[in-house]
Amino acid sequence: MGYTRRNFLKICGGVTAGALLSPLGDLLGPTKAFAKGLKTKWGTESTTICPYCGVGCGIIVTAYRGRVTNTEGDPDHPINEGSLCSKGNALFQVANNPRRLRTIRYRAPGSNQWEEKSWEWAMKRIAQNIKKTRDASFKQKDGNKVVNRTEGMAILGGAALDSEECYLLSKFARSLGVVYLEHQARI
Amino acid sequence: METSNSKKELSLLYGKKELSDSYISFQIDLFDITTKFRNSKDFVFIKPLRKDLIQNNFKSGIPLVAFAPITVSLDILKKCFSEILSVFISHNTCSKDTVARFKKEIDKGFIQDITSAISSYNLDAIQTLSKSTPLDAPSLHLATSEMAKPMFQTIAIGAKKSASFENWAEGFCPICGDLPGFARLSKEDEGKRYLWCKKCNLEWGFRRIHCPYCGNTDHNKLKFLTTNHREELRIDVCNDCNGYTKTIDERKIEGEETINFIRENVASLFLDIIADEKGYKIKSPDFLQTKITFQ
Repeated sequence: MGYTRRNFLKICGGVTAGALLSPLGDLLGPTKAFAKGLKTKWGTESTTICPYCGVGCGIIVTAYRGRVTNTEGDPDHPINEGSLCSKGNALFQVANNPRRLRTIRYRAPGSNQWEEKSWEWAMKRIAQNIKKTRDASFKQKDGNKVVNRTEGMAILGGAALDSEECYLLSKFARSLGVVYLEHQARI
Repeated sequence: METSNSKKELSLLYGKKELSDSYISFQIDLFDITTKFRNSKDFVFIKPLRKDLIQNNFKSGIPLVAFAPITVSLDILKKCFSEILSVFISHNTCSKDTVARFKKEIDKGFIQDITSAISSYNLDAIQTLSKSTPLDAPSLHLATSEMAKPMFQTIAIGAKKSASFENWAEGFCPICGDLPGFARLSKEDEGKRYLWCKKCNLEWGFRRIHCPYCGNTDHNKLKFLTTNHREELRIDVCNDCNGYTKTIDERKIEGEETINFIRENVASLFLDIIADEKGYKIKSPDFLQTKITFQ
């Protein structure tokens, strides 16, 4: 039978390191004792695409127990071959940065003070403002043409949104009648 | 890969708490034999092949020994095997008297059989052949693998002159078809992974999120294990096939020092012990039809 890569890959067998090292017997004593005293931890590497612009650079994300510990350019990605721009290089900070805001901050009109607010308060406030703006600016007809749109607000998708989030945002915006709908990244 | 400094590099491991001095001297003795026999006159003859034939086979993922007619000297292999047995005897890794007697009785037929078995990864044949020797199967496997090193390294040195491995994209060695013994994440190539064959002392590029043994690319099944000793070392494992590769991340090493795979493979023995305890295996092809003949 002809020898091909496919059947070669299928027939890989395995031997435990213990079996292969068994002839070395006593020579391994100190190494076995040393290995026993070591602390170990598991990590994972997964690939993703940089969310910041339309180039679409490949990134490898390293995590320990689900916590991101490193991001780096993917050397096997055909677009960037491991390199990244300064913004892509700082992607790690999307997951880890003590200076990122973790609570809702609100500055009332005319105020120079930031107030801390709850998510519940913020969602309600945004909904109220959207409804108020939409009600005030909603147009059913443009001349004789039915348009059912609002020109009083715009929606801009963030660069870090993934495809599914962009889809939902787009559906949401169109259901309100928003026509000024844009997105920063075009991947 | 440059090996001229490897003996000196191995000597630097003496006194390390994670290795016994006797293990290091055992490895140095074996390394000396590889160096002595590698490139011996009239050891290996490779029939000249057209460059396009080599490149087409490499493109199809076929290693050199599977398509290049290679002739190997049994006399030199026999001398090499005999010296390896002497190292085994001097380091007390086998029964002295019986192996010393066996050493005197080895004939060329036996050498041909074990070389064919190790080149074609026929572990069953090694198991069977071990019954006619005072060595158990793992010891014969180890001795035969060491005997094959100078042969494959001579083939690799010859092949490098006429072939390019740049487009080789497989998880096994382009020369002997063996699976990698070690890997490095390179400093100069933005973390690109290079696999290393311990038999041929040859490295080639391979994708990062990809198991070199079973081809698995599911990152949920590919993990790595680090320890609190030498943070640049890790074990890459595949939970699909249970194989593992020891890896060194050059980017975590200060300075411009080039990685010496021979030294690192010996120095990282503790990772093999840990991988074994966790149930991971050293992978080996089961069978490979070669075009090696003997004279």
